[in-house]
Amino acid sequence: MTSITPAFNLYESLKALPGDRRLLSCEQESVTAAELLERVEMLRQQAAPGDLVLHAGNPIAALTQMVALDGLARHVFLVPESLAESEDFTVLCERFSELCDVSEHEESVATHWILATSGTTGTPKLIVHDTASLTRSLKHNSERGADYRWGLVYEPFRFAGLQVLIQSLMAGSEVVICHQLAFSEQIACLSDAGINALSATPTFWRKVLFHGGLEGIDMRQVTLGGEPVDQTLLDALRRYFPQARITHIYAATETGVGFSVTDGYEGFPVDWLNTGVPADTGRVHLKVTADGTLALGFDQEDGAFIDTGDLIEQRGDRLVFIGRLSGAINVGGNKVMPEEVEQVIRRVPGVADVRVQGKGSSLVGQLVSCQIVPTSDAPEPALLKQAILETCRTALARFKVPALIGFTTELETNATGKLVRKSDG
Amino acid sequence: MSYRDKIIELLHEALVITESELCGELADTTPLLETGLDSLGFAILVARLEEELGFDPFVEMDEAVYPRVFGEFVAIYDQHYTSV
Repeated sequence: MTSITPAFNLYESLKALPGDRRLLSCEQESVTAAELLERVEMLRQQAAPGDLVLHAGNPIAALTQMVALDGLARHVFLVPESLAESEDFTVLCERFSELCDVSEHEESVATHWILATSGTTGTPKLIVHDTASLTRSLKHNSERGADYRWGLVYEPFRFAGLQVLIQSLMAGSEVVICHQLAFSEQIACLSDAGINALSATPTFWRKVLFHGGLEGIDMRQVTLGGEPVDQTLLDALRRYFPQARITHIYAATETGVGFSVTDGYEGFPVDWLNTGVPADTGRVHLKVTADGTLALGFDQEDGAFIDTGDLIEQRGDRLVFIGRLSGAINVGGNKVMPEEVEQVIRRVPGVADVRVQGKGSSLVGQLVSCQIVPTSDAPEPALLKQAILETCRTALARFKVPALIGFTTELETNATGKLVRKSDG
Repeated sequence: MSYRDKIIELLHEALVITESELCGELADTTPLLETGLDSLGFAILVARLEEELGFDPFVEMDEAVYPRVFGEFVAIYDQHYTSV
């Protein structure tokens, strides 16, 4: 009989796993469930701090600490390396102290995990989770868990990375940690380790498709999240990994996981606006705000809806994500979403990937500008530009057609694997 | 030295980008509004000129001067050259 009792405690989850189950590998180090439990038990014999700033550092050590602290510590600030190195870190530590002081006298058994958002505008915010909200949508079946070996290309202490790590703890799946490597080394590491499951951003998956290197893998689970997922990418992934189940997840550090979609289509069913999203642990309610963004409401919380800031648009019987409200380019009063133009440009042969952003214009406010990463067999720049313009003119309103087309060898991604767009004007 | 030739080259490029056509001759006296480019087209022209020449004279102006005819537009660029 499979064990499906929800365990909202990382320590209890670990204890429930078969001891010989291999759990974590990172570079040369690897641990089984029994070995991890032994390390956790040693830590738990020491007096637990009430409040703690926990740095990622060595991922296996960090996860050991996290498991040891669950149910014992009050507030734990999980700090990924990229955050520790950023200018915001000092301010956030001060905010963490204030948060701890304010809730000093609260009675709570559940450990609070504090994460920072990746902060697209201004200073990142601190978000308070507990193990239940961090694991809201994760599965607990440790028999099936043995069938999966996950690659981790996200930072362990960012929300997406935590999802992979904790899921593996709860299901007893192995995780091959390689977020710290350069892209081509990650591919080699994942391939050598024989992973069969991977969670990454659409930008990362596009690089996988163009770079190659994972064809030999018996991929069983392809998970996407963090950026809008379009039908073209879903179809390309299905062709590339015919045996895989493909899931795209809508989640944010603020809200936790909103929902996941496994039907093979982009976006989500319009019907969910009426019925909410069916989930094992409470229904998630969906609403469209006056701005056209998606708002999420959770049964467990006070009933308030959280505005995600993500624009959605109806296409047929689906609602699709078209980009961040804050990411719109304004061309003489006309709004352009970078993602829409990028999707069109990706159809052009010779384009490996593209970034669209706004360029300041003294005359119309902003113009659409794009940077192209050409494929190795792309036509020469002048011809490629011509092809891009012709494709865009056919598919887009004229103010959306890129006014400026440049070439680059690589598109910058941020600490969470998402494409970075820098607009001015 | 005048930027006239470069401006004409990129004006034609902007016409192609915006799928517009040059209406008649391009002379110093041709009103900008009759060249075939609309405001978006001119914005693209100015942006492309900034890419190639390294400056946008409209941003750098202390007082806003709006050229009415093609010759004035060229002059604004040529003035920048002489003032540098």
